[in-house]
Amino acid sequence: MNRPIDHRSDVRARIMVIAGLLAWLVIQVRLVQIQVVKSEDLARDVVIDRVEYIPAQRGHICDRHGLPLAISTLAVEPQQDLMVRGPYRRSYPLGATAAPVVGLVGFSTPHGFTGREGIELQYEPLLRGTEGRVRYVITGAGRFCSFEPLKIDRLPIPGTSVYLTVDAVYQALAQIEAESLRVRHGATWTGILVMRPATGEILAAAASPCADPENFAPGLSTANLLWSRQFEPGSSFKVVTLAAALEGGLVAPETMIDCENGAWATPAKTWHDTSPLGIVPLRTAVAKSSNIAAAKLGIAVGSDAFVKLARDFGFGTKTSGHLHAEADGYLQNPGPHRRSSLAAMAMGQGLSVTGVQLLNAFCCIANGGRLMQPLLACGAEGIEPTVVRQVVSPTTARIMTELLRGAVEGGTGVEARHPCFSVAGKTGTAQVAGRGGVGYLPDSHIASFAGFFPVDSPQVAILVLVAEPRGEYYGGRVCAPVFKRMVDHMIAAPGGCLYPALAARLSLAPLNGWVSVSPDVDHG
Amino acid sequence: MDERFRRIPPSRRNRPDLFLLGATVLLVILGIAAMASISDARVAMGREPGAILGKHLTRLGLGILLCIAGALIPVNAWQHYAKGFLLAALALLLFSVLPRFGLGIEGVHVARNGAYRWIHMGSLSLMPGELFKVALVMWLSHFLSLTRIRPERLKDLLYPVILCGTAVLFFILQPALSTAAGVISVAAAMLYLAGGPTPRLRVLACGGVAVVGSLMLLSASSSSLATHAPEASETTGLGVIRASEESPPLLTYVRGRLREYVFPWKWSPRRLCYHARQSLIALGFGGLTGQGLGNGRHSYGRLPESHTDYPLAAIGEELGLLGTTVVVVAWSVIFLRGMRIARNAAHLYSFLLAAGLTLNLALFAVANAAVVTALVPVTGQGMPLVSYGGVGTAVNLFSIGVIDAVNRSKT
Repeated sequence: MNRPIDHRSDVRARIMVIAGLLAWLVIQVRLVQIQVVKSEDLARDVVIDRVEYIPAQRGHICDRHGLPLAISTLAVEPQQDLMVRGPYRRSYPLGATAAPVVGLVGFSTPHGFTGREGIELQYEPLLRGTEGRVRYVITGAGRFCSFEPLKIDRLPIPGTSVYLTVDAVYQALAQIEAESLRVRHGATWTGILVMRPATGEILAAAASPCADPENFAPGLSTANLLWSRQFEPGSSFKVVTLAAALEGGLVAPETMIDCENGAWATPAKTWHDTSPLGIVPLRTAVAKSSNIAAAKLGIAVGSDAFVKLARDFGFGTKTSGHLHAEADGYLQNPGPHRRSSLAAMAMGQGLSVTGVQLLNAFCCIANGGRLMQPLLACGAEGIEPTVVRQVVSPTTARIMTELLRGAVEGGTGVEARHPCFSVAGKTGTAQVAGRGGVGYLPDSHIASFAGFFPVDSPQVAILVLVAEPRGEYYGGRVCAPVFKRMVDHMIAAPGGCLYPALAARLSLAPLNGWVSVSPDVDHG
Repeated sequence: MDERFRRIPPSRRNRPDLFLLGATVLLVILGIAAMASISDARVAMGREPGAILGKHLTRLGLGILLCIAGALIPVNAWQHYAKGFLLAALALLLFSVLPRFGLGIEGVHVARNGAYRWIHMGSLSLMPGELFKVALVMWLSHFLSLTRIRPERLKDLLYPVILCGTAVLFFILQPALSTAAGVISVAAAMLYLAGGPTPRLRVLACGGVAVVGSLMLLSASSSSLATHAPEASETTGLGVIRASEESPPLLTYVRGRLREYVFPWKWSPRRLCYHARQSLIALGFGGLTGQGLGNGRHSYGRLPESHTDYPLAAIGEELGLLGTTVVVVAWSVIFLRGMRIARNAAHLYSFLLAAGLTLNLALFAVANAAVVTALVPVTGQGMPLVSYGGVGTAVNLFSIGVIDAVNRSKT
């Protein structure tokens, strides 16, 4: 166990050490030979695997006729290469006019564009496609290895194109109008929305200000103000009050209402009318947009029924899932005891709505009381109009249409009258709430006009919104004329007159078996 | 013991040998870096990373524990258990080759590249060969230091020869010929150090060399011609001999190597077999400073098993000559310190123990380095401490610990 080490072992150990070091020395010399002397020789034969991702061409966004609103094109000439490898450039042929709908894409990533706003974002999975993957091999000398073929793991799959319900021409016209409207009146923002009542399709959604997707300036967005911005609607909301009162059987068009000569003192506050009226039939009160009449109707309906009907009309929630950055609006039941709040709501103050909610309610009336879901994009097979619910009876809708026609023909909306068609609509002039929700600003208003035509079988509904105009601020003076101008545009748009020939051009003829509410009558 | 040979003053004896441990740590770190790069490269090439890095770290963790254990357990303790360990390791070796007799167990005996080197028990897998190497060293150092044994007498050596012979048989059955060759070499070296019979030694030496040499050549031939190379469709590079079709016969190989040594300017790597050639390309591509960590594209793409058998090639490609020199220097340090510790040991037993364990590590390391640099034909051994080797790594770290224990012991 305790055997000592003798001399011989130690010498042998030393020999072993020398032998071992020699061995490592040989290895080291060999390494130098390989890694320094012969390095270039060997490096020439190195074979390096490379993986490359091929971006997929992003799907187009087209209007209802296939006109491109957003397209991806090759940014460079295709090389004499094995396959098209991008990069792509996203261009917007209509520029800023379609931006409120189309949105824009984010800066190009190695894997292509991603949508940031608008349709580009909402339909990102469809538009993006799948990138391809390719593997190849190069030699140390940097050339393709002729021995080994290019291996295509997968080809890029281009994105699916998205077709919108929007008509490019109407969108352009509406956007130009909205922009000039904003400049002319010095407004904070403006919006023009065009929808088709029978199906809920959005034909144009223009809003100003809006970012230009091709000259992107930070700070502006393309979020469409018609559904991202909520505001107190004012008098245009009175249609809801009216619908509630009619549906509840409380009034008829000939029912007399006391409008208190323009000033109605209640314990809470004194309500005023712009044009003082005495005891007048309902139709006159509607035509002259009497606040007092609306307040009385609202109180008579009661807060529960009123709020329920407002919710049925789609206020207080998003109208659909595919409008980017849509706001909910604000609608709260004031309770049975807060009559002045109810009165205010009946006039369209004390609640918030979005432009699309407002026009959709008008479309509902035009559609025989049936509320549709607003559509912005169609699938490959065409649109699928969705009925949300029957809000009021067709009788009520018809009565309301008549009353709204009266508002245009002899009431506040007289500037929206059109020589070719009968128009039904409602003006709105709302006050803007002050900071913190307390009180209202004295010189700030939101002017609106919402209407549809022709009255007998409504094909088109248009909303014109102007926020905080300077100078003139009544809806009837600021917005109603623009409505008429829009109708003029639509007639004069290339392709012919609006109805019925234009209807054919617009493919407003039944899609998927859908027909408008009343049978088509040729008005010529 | 002769005072002349005592190099380390007694006062320093209780501290661990920093050179030894430092070099070990260095090699282990390089091994980890290589594994990490390999995992990354696999992912980048679209394959799954496998659990390479994770498993390697787990085994290292185990190894560190064993290293500490080995360092703390008194060296003499091994004398009592050496025989038991050896017999147990032998039994495990036998168990591992049962499939050759038709007694294989599903899931336990898994052949890798046609060899039954592993035993899998659930999630644990070990190589009996590695265990045997260490057990043999321990037992031999004990046996040869017994006072009744005189290495000059041939008949005293009967016992070790029989045991080694049986083990070699099992190794041949696995087959793990290069391991067998290594084991024989280590045993012979220990015998030599113990003062084996000089006249008889020469005979034994020639016989041993013959056996070792033929084992190596046989091993090389079976590996070179084996299906080590990946599918031809994937990996034929420019100018490379198409892998699965042919490898040069051994004589050509040897002749080629000799020609290189005698006429260095007639360099001809193209006559090499696939693995050797790719290994050289990887090293050459690394050049002086390498392609950078994580950029070992050639070695990962074209050199399969680079994590087990060719880590030096990967290190050479990523870190260049600097990296490989570090490896060579680290191994030289381990070898030198190990032998120095041996020579400063108090008794024959600890002398043989330290020397044997050092040889166990350094011999296989040199062999692997020689393969990677295409000095010798391809064998299937990895580099201790650096390669991804599972139980082997843990056992090798244990050996380091024991060597250090010898350093600090008074026996």
